[in-house]
Amino acid sequence: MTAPIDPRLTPPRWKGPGEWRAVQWKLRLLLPLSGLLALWYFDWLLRPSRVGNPILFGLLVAAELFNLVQAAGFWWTCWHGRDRPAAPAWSGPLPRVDVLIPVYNEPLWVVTPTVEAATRLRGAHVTVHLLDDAGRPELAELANRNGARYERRGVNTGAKAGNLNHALARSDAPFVVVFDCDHVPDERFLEATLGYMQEPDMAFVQTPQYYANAGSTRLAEAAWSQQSLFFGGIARGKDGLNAMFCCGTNVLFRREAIESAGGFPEDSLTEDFELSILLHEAGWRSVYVNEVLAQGLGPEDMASYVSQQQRWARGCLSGLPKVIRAELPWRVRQQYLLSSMFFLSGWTFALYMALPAIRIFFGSQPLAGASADQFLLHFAPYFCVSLAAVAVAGAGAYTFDAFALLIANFSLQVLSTVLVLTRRKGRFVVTAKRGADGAQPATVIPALVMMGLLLASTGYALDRSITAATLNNVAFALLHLSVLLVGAWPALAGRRRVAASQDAAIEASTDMESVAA
Amino acid sequence: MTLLEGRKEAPRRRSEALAPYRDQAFMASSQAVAGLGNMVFSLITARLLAPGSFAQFTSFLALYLLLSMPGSAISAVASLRPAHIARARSVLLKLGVAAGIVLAIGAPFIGPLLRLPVAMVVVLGLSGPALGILPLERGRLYGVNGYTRLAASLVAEPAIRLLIGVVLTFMLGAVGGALAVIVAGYAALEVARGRGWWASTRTTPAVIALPNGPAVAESLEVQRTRRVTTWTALAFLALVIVQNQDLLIANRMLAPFQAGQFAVISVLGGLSAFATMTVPLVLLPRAAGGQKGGLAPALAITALIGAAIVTVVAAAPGGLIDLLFGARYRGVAGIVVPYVAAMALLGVTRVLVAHRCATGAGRSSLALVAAAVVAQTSFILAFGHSTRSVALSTVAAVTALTVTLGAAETARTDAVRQRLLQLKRVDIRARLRTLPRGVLIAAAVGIAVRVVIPRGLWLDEATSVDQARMSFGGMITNLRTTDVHPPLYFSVLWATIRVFGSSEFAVRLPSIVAGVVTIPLLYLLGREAYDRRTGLMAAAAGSVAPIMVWYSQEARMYSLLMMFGVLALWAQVRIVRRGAGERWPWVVYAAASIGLVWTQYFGALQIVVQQLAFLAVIWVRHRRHEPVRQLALGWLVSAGVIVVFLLPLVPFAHQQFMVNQTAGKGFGGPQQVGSAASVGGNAINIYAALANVIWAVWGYHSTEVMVFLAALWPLGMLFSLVLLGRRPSKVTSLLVASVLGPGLVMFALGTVKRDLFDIRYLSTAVPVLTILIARLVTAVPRRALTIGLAGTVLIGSFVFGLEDQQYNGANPRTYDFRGALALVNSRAQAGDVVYYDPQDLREVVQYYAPDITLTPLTAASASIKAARRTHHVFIIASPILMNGVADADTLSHELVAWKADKGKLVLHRDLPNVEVWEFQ
Repeated sequence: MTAPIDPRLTPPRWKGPGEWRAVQWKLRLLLPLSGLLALWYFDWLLRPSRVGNPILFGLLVAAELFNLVQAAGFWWTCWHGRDRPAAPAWSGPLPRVDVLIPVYNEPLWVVTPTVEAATRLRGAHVTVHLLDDAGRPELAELANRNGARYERRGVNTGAKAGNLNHALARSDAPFVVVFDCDHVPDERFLEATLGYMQEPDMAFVQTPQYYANAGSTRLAEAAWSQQSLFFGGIARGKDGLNAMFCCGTNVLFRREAIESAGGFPEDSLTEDFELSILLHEAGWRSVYVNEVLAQGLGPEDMASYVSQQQRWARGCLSGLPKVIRAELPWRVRQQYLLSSMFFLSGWTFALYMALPAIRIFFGSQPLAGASADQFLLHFAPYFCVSLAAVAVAGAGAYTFDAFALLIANFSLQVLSTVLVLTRRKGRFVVTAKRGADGAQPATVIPALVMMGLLLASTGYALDRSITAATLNNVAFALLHLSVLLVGAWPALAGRRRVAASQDAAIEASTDMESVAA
Repeated sequence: MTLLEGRKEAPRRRSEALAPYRDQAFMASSQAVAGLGNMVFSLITARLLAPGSFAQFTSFLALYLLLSMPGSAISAVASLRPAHIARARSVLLKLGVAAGIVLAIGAPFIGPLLRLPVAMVVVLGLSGPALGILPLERGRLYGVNGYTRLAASLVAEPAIRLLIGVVLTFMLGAVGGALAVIVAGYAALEVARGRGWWASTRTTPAVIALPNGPAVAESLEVQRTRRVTTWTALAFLALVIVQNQDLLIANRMLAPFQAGQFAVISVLGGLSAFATMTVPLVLLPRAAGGQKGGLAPALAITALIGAAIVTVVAAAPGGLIDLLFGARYRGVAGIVVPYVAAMALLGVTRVLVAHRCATGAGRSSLALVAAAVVAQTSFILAFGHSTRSVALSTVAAVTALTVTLGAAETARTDAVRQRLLQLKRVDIRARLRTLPRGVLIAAAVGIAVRVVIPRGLWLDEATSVDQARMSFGGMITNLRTTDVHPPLYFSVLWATIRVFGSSEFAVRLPSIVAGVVTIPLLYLLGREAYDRRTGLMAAAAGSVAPIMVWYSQEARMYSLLMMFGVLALWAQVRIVRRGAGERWPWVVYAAASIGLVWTQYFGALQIVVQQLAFLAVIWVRHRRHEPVRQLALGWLVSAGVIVVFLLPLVPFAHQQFMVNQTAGKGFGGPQQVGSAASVGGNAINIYAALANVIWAVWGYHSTEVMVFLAALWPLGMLFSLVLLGRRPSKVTSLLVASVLGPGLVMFALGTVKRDLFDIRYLSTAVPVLTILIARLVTAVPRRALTIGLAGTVLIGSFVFGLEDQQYNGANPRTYDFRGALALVNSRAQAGDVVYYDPQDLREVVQYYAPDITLTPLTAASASIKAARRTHHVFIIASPILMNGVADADTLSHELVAWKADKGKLVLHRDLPNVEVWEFQ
């Protein structure tokens, strides 16, 4: 039997330029329709006669308006999707580039292919820096073996940002590339990005954060599906609006730009996001190259996913005041606001899920003066076309599992908001590169509680006299229940054994190679 | 061979391959120009002359053509033997002169016989010398590829007609026009003989030349050529009779104005027939010379020209006649399209005859054409009492001839011959064994479920039976004048009743059979579109799908419609998936598509979707630089065949529409009987759409159940969410479009006429939806266990739906007329009176109580009062079927009147959607 191949070393599955053109064409057809249907729905919803329970109505309208703003922002972003031609070739002598690979506690089998691939980058005089925050001798050995510089700082402050700043101070190439230690770069990475740096106001060039292990578990697949929507329709749109922000890895920086911002912000959970704000505020520009030029590992289990998402949610939400205060062009500011505020969506999900239960238990509902068919008539087209827009923008990669995973983790966003508002300090936690094999029900307790509530309300409703209105609310409850169950399932079922054994084999083979070397 | 040589040869081969198309197109264009010129001349004469004179003039033209009849055959013969016409020229000249003299002398007798002026017959006689030689010279030119001169000769004729004909017609009337026609013929002859500037036109050697072999071989070849020429001449002769005899007979049989009307039809039909006149003549020498590949271009060009002309005429027949002939002839607008289509088909027939004659099947071709002549004559003599019936006689004869010849010619091709031989050897039982056992089980379950019919006939079924019990002609007339459906299903039912009688089971047999056949078809389509597992799931689901079972048990056309719909989609998917090379899927596709519309007009919606799908596939493949020629050709031919076979339905449908509108039952009219039961409301709204979806999947249910099911719509959101990230395959897009396209159109139509947005008119969508659901069940779950579980849930829900649909007496679509009439039958005595309300119940009550005198309950019923005093009175009423308040008022009035008379209510029985009262 042949040993399984590290998925990061196989060709990525990403759309070609022709496919993205087709996506854009379809979006241009769908988005105006989405807008019209949104108007149709809200014109119906926001009439005084619709007010049922005033509090619930107010909450519903607030949630719907929030989601409309998010949806409109999404449509606006996707409308501006840009497909760049290949980067211009670098003119003049090859530049020097420092490649920074920060490492914390990731296993050797994760880091080795990254370092090896980084030393093979073409198109520049590359110096690879392995930034070890754990002080492991095997990493020093790895660096030596591959001709990379091994950096170890005395005090681990500022998490990843601190590590990068430390390396920046000890290097001097005009351009800097940052790869998370699990992201194996393609040797064309610099050839595909450096050309943009010939424009003097270009601060950074971002490329997709691709999860090569998407096929390993159902959760990994769903997490990648979420990523693909961002690095597909959304990132292309942000690029079209000159508002692409840095995503922390697979990114080429101009050293001058980073230094002008005072280095990577060390007091943030999302140093990349905040650095981007500073750079755009200072008038620097950014570019997104829609081509997979490095392949990494996404979360494989619910605990890793929750940890990653919570860090992003808290980081982006805490960056909200900075976005508001920053002197940014209005388009760029709106883009940052949309990205930050996306992490408030969990509140609306919670409300939607609670409404049928409230109706069943207490008989209160937000809407009045409207029959179910009127609601269906006005809401269904808006819902369906909006969903179609998401499907198209993600080029078919955004799946039901991805959506359900987002919904099932609604509590993350709720909790993050509370923590940000209460100014509780967060801790930078590295996303685990290997999923746990067992079930992790503790990671989805809020979802389980909500499922229990919905199940109870369904049972309660069916136990009483059955009317069409009751059944309608039961159907809503079952809808939410199904979505939550699918979203929480990876945590309840645990990791698939086949994938686990495959990864173990990869790990063993990589470590063996390292030992042999 | 070097690479360079290969490069040089490629264009030459392509040029050779395209030569038949080029030559045919050139000659057809010339003919078109000539035809257009002649048409313009006819139009001018139509304007200049009174109807009677114009009829005479067109009769003259027909006679002229009839006399040219041998000429047409002569052209064919001369094209086969261009080097041997010298003697023939001399003989024909003598014969022509003789014929002219005979005509001139016999004019005083012939004129009155044909209702033509004597002078006109004399003029006709003048044409004698040219009549034979002109086609001979033209035939020679066909034989030597002298197409340029031929074109000049063709165009010269109308040019001269127009130059002098207008003046002569104006001055001398119909006779002047006739004179111009004769002069033009001589001018065309001069051009064909080549004495003028055109004589320099170069010609290439004859396409066929007798081989310079041993004397015996030459003798055999000469014999073969003689046989070919003889059969060709005779067959072409017979074809001219088919083309023209209706006009001559109509002129004799019909009143002058009707004859004028037929002349108008004939002129337009002639345009279609003459437009392709050159095609068989170009084909003949090539085919006789052994050149392959001439038939397809000839047929393609003929079909293309025919279809173009028919399309133009069909676009606005009334307007065209107004424009060309004046509004007085507008009455024939309804029949002109099928007639023109028939003449276009005659062009196809000529090509087929030419090819068959040239390739050794002349005798059988002549036999077939002769049979058509006899049939056409018989039809006209038997039924030709009006312009319409004469035209329809020709349409029927020509259509039958074309289909027969086409089938005969197809059977001659090697592939088809092989296939037919294979078919003879096919072991049906062996074929059945190749179907998975699951499909056979599904079919068995399907049969079992379908033959257990818990309900009796309802209104529409009884109407179908009533119509099918008439004579065939009577049924067609009844359909045309009182119904809104095409005749295929009724014809099947008509035959079924003749064979099996008209018991409940017998009249539902066609639907049961179609319903059962649909089950394996679902498997085939599911397998072809996706995989074996989906096919099996679709067949299993289809066997118990409530709405499919419902219509398999109804003596109406919807089960047949579903079967044709699945068949057409299966054939299309197979063609697109496996390549367009096989012919039989095209035949299946075209036949099923034709069957769709002949069964139910709304079947056309699926055809439109499928045609667009073909276009999309061709476009996409073309953009990808994939070969599309075969697919495009197949598509064009099949589309042409479909159009040709649907054209005869156009006037039928048009008349039905007009009758329906006039009767106030069409658009803008009241709701259809039973519609109150069908949708659960009169407004077209989102719930109506939802209700149709529920019916399509889970069948018909009581209003209460429907309200509950509709309330579950949020689960539809779950369904749409599950679809996220599932990019539909091309075939899924086709299937979804086959559901959504017709659905949206019917929804739109429903806003104008509410009844139309009903699942029965969207029957084609039901099996497709079943396959899509089967696909969802087999594709979304990731594990076999989950698939099994999902499948069980799906089929379980179908079984629940089926049970409720079939046995819940509150189902608003269930009518127990059988029970009601059985009750009346068991209680009624001699002298008792049975009334029914509304009047639409006539057929159904008569079906169940043929021996009882039944009377519609009307407000003015006088007999009921008398009957009340002495006998028992039964009233059978179906409130749900009552149209408006009038019927209901009548019933209420009668019931109140009875109470006022202090009569005794003996019995009141409330059956599903039917009530029975017995008064004493």
